[in-house]
Amino acid sequence: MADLGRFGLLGALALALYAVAAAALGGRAQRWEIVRSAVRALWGVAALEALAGGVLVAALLRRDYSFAYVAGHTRDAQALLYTVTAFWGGMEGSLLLWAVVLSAYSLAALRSVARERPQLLAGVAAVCAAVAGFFLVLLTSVASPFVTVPFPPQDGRGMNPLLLNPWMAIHPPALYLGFVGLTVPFAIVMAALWSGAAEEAGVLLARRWMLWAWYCLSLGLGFGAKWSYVVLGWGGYWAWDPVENAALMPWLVATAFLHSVMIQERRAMLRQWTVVLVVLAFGLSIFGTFLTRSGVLSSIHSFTQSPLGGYFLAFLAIAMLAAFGLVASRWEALRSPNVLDSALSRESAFLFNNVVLLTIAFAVFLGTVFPVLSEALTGRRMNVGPPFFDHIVTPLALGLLLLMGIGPLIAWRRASAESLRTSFLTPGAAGVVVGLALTAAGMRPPGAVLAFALCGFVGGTVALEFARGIRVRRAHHAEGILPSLAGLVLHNRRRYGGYVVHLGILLVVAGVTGSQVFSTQRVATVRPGDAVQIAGYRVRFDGLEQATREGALVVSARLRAFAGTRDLGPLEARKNLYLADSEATTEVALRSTPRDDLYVVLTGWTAGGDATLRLLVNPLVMWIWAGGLVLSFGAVLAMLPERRPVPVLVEAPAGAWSPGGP
Amino acid sequence: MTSPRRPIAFALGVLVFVLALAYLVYGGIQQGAAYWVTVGELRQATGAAARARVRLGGTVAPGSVAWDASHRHLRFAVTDGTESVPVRYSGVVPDIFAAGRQVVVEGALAPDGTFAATTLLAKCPTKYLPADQPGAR
Repeated sequence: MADLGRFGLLGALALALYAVAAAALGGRAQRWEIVRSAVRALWGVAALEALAGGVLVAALLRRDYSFAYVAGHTRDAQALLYTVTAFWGGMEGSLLLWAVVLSAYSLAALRSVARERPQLLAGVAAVCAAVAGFFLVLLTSVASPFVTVPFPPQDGRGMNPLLLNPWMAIHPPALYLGFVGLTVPFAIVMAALWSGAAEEAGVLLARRWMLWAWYCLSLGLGFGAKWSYVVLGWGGYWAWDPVENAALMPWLVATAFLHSVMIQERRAMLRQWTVVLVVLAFGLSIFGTFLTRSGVLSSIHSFTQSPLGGYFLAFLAIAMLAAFGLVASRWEALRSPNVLDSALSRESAFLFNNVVLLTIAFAVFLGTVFPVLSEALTGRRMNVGPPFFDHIVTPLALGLLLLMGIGPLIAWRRASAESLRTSFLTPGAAGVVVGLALTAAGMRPPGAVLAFALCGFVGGTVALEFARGIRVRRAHHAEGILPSLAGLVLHNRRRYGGYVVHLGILLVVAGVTGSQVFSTQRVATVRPGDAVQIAGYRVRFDGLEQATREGALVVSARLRAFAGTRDLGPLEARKNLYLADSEATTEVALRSTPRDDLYVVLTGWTAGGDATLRLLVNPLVMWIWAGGLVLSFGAVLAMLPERRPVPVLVEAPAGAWSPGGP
Repeated sequence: MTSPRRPIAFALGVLVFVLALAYLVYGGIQQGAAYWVTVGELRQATGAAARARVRLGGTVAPGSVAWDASHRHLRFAVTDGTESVPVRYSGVVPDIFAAGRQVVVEGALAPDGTFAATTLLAKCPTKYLPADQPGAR
């Protein structure tokens, strides 16, 4: 069976290499039958990878411990769900998942390219096949999931119990769908530059793929944050860990792209910039996979010990050199005919938005690679922690929030003083009112007041945009407000989907601000019957319980929460001790309300029945998860195909505002 | 990028932005940076270098893990195989922390020769592999 998987991957590698050569040479010589054979070879790659994936799934389900991978990532007692998710629980399997997802994306992309831009077919096939080839080289050499052992163990080692959680089951695939999705826009843009045909560089076709990848990355980041919050038991959801940063950086660059592409579409500006963003996003997706998989940065060892690291860096260097070389050679053709008319214009607001997003991405990159960088420059390894990131990212994020309120309202090309006054009066007032109200209510930290005031401003902007759209519609159709709203959104899905995403981001920002600035924490050692006061809650400890469950010793602290005199019901904070391999996991006692989360961790106990509890009250955390839901809804709305084609490159008159278009 | 009509204003804007960013990065490094040291290096450090905030990497010495009665303060020793440094820590202990595991502690050496840690990270390099597995680095 393992041989079948191995040969499947070798065959896929051979076909992928053939596809690269055939697509490149056939495209250059304009021999379309050769290009078509490359596309067919990619179908073969997909089929053989699916076969290899099937072999691995079958081995996991049969718990065939002669596979080293199976023995390492599952065991008899592991639940069926986690036996399946063990597929991406380890390095080899997750690289195979990368390859399988890439092949599926490649086939879908080739279909849509063949329909809409057939001249790009050869280039897209060549780039997709080259990336697939790289992963297949890894899978057939240093990271084979089909290594077998001569004497299979009786039982497997199983996955790390920390990963046996539903959020962790879906977090990696969501992230990988996003990471891999960034390859397709890259392939399209490279193909367009290579074929030399298109001055818009295929960016508009790439946009849809980028939106999808962005959506998946958002989901992956959200699931990861949720996992960190409910499973790791440290009370937070984001630690600026290199692995988290790895996913955040391409997300930021993709966000910048989704905004700059609107300027390209409307005004044919920022074309060189947009192309650079596509290349960067792809590069960061490879870099991110490298970070999560090689252990360069979280490791205190040098990365020469990881054979994978060298492969990734070499591939990244070659891909970036080739891509930026191609971009440079087409630089003049990409130059925009239009220039920025005024610093007070929507174009410039979007430009600023891009600069800030890229700066945040750069700062995150700098902090993430700081140990390696400082070692190279000074010979001593230095690390920067969360304060570094908080210090830099907070002011930039507030600036970005301000731009989020300005961008949708300010006029194209050149804004007049009059139009600024009418547009910004209401949202500006909303922001000021929120700020003053919170100050009057006793909120003191200036950063938090500013963040909430800016949220009010952006919320006002979004509300005003909806109100204006509805007013325009109702002037033309006799309809009620709700049907009008529905019609407005459904006929301009990208635009209003985008605004819904903005609302989701607002909720996330409010939740992050609330929980970062106003969190309270206490550690207390209690005897049964004792109660601990924290931020308006009283938590009573009713004793310890012990049980055995699925190979783990479960110690639970029975708790009861009260708000004043009101009984909020029982809670349980648990610690699971896996005796076989001295692992432990935490189950947090969590009571979530829109106002705040009561979060209790059992950190220790004594033989006498005392418990040490760590209690946190984190305000507004639920808003973060709600924001994620709203964001997903907006993104799905924006991804639904538009009913009528949007005219491309319309020249907007100065100061124009229209209900349609982006 | 789009060529601006007034290159001097544009260049000034870029300059201001870059300076502001440099200022932010400098402040961030002041706040959050710590040298990475091994047990041997920390043992040999003298003077100001011995009191600086550092990140210490090593293995939790077997048999050294001790909790106080209330289970709030943790003491253990970090070793590089030959030398070791006693560490005290009170805070969130990661679930994967155990004797024999690799850890990274951030903090500074106290006058009594104990390393007062403010952060404790147990190594779980990829988050996907048990930390003591041969494949894990």
